[in-house]
Amino acid sequence: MEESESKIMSEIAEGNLSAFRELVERYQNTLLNYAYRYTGDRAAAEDIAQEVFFRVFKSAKDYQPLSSFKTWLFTIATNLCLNELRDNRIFRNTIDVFELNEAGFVALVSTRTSPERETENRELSAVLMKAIRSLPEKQRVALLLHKYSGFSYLAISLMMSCSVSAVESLIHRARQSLKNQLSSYL
Amino acid sequence: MKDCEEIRKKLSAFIDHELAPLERSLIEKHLQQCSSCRQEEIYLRKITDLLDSVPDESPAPAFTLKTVHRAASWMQCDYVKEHLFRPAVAYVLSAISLVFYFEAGALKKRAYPAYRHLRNFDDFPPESLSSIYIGLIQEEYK
Repeated sequence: MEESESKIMSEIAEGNLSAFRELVERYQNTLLNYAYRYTGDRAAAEDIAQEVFFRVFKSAKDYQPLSSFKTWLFTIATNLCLNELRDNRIFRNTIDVFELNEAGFVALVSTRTSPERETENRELSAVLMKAIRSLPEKQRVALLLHKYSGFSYLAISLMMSCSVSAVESLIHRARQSLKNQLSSYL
Repeated sequence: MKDCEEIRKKLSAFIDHELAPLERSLIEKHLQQCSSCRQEEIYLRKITDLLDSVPDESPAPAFTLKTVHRAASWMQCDYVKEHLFRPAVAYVLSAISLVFYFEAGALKKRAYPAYRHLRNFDDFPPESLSSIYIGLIQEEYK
């Protein structure tokens, strides 16, 4: 897997757009969902995901397969998400739970399609997204990287430049905080 | 009680299968004996299930195309910049420099017609009015 990504990167460095397309198709879902859960803004998440791929393309010539490709990709994504939030480019778009429902921001895929169930799911998703966004930055990064992008605690510790036990603590505190916020749903 | 505090700190890692086998078995044993820690574990698992229930978003249909197109445009710009624009700029700057060099020389020549004309008459007697006048003109043009 990792070897093929190195190969793809060397093809991209030679200007092979098909290889780039393959890379985009391979990671677009995980990257988009990571950015979306981080920012809570669908449009911003797409912009971030596109920017990540663009940066990967631009730096393909200098790419050194020293660490995992996925780790590198998500490190770029995390930095871009942080920049977006710090520049307040996203919070102006963050809206309340009920406004989110009206905006229809979540295309819920539910097996039970009754309108009530759909509304319930949508509300729950919105509440969850809001709760995730309210977490302190480091806790949010650690939780999202583990829960939705499948990184191990060790990989996260390398990305965040901290110890494994610090990651363990961050994720635990994030879960505790969510537990307190979402107690009525448990 | 001290045990419970330590165990609870490890519960997330336990749920995420991030503990070493020995640590894992210690926690499993504790959970069998301690109902409050077991309750805490159930809550944390419910949170994990809730997080799992957040549906995945799919990229817009044109996302891949737009991303590849952006890269292609950049590559073209980069190529033009590297192979066409920079040499072209170099040529244009050289041409401008040459034109400026020759034009400046021509300007210099055109700037002194009166002086050059007056030089034809510089054999006036010294201290004469004509000689003083030509001297003044020459000073002015220096």
